Amino acid sequence: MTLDFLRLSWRGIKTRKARSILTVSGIVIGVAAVAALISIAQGMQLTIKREFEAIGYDTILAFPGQAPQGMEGMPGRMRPLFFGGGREEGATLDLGRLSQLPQVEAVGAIRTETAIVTSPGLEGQGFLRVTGLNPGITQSFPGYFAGFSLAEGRYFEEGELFSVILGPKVAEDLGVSLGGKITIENQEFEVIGILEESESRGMLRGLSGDPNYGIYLPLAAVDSLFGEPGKISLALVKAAEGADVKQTAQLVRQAMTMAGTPVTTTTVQEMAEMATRIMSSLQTTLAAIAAISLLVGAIGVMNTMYTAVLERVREIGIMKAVGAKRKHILGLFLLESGLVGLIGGLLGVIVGAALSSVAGRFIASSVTMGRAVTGEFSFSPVFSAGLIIGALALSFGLGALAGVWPAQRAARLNPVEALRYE
Amino acid sequence: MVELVDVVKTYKLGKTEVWALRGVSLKVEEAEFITIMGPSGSGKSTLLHVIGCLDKPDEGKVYLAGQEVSVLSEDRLAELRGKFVGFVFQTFNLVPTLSTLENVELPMIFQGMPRRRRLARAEELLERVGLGKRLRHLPAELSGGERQRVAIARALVNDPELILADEPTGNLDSASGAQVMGIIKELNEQHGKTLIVVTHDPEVASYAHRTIHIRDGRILETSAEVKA
Repeated sequence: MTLDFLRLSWRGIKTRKARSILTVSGIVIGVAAVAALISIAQGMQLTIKREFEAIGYDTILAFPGQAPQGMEGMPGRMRPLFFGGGREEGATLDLGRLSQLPQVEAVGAIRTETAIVTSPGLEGQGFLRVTGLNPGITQSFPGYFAGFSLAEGRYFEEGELFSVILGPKVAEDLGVSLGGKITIENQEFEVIGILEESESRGMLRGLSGDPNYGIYLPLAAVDSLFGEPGKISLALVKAAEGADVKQTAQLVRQAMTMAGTPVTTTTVQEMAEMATRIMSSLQTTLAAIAAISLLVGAIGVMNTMYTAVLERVREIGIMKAVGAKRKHILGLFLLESGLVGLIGGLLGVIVGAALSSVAGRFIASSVTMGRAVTGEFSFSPVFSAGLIIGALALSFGLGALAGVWPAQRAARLNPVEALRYE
Repeated sequence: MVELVDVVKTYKLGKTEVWALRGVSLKVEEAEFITIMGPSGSGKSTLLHVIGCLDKPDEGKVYLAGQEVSVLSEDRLAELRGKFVGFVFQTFNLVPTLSTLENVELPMIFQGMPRRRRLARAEELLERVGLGKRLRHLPAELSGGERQRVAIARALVNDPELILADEPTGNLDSASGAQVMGIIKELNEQHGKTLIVVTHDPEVASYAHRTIHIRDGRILETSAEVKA
């Protein structure tokens, strides 16, 4: 019986071909917009999740200085994170206290300063950022230092002082190669390692700046050049296995406050949660806007179905005369409008997939161009089975819903009047 | 088979009330063939609609096969129309987008009959009215006489007891009209169907056992001709 109704409904759609195509187009646009936006947003979410996972949820970032009350975890404080590299200004922290906490597995210190750099291959001098790292930090926080792998040479050794590891681009700019010498703040350094050119450096792994342009020194060397030993821009703390990361962050804050050098902490988990929150509210907003076009499409279906009912009043009368009940007429027209919705949904999903793949490529490439800020990152929209099924169900449901009013009118028609209708 | 008791039916045309039936009482026996004659606007079509459960009377009672139908719900009436009554209209009333075969299938779809049985039944009936070779044609591709024969086949698919025809030959030339009336008469004579035919054609009336004359919503007289 359902199959017969489907056949009859399909006949109805086919007999007003042009109008059906136009009506379907309305749904296609709406569904395509919604599906494309959701798939892009889901792709973004996945990318963010991947990035944070790569850093590791057990990592806590501690910045010298206290955040204003109640401002913890606010985006304003995150700005230095997203815009490449810790803060220029820092404070002296007694990180030894942190290593003593049983909940802490490893501590890393980063000190960033701006230095006068000269090299044989460089005319004049450069005013460049140098980053001091304590030995072993790259091994303890591999996620944070993703892309920090050597093309040639070696990492720092314990007790080493005037050695430098360069990013490939800055090495090129300075005109030095492995074993060469550069001068930083009047002190000669030997180039002991050159990093691999890093292409896919995570959006958030950009926390440490673009390694392609990085000048990395042992922390002790920075201390000796700039004084104030123990001053750091950013401390990385890795929570021990099994320790609660949030609790550990609190312990870190307490310990540093007690030492008289308060810090602000952000856990990777907090950052991930916030980014997810921002993404999902963005997704909801965008989807709601796209849903408006879907609503317009549904009104189009309603309009078409209403006209279809008017055109077929006599046919409805005939069907009633030969024994069609209200539910039959209702079902017939609901099925017809649902079918219009479903066809629109099907095409909309296809168009939406194409749209989101094009838009995804555009997003990925435009973000890559702004690499100095966010670094290159891999992004592709997610077109899940759930999204497809959801879009199809939604479009069928919306189509049917749009048909309720016209179908009810059809079902309520008086058979005698319907038969007399010209 | 059919009994009407003091049936009153009015219509509203704009603000004026039109009295279509003003107290009609009528009895039709099983396997009887009657015609209803009267000028246009006399209420004869309304009478047919009330008998055929397409319309409900304002007052009075209608019995079909002993059951009072004037009190039934609209869906029960639809069911009765599907099973118990077959309609043949002056304007054929075929669905223009459906083929001959599909038009005849239609009433069986609403009865929930499986497709294979429907097709067999529809083909058999179309064969019987001489349209076995026209199954895939659309109504617009058929002559008036052919269309009316499709409509008759459609009226018969659910094997109804009662066949109601409203000016079945009104839109046909005399040759087609005679052919259609031949089929209708056969239904009564060979298959024992109860037939009520509305017409203003005395030629058509001559086929019937009995003719009822109606004017201004009232039955005037009954002229009975007993046929051998």
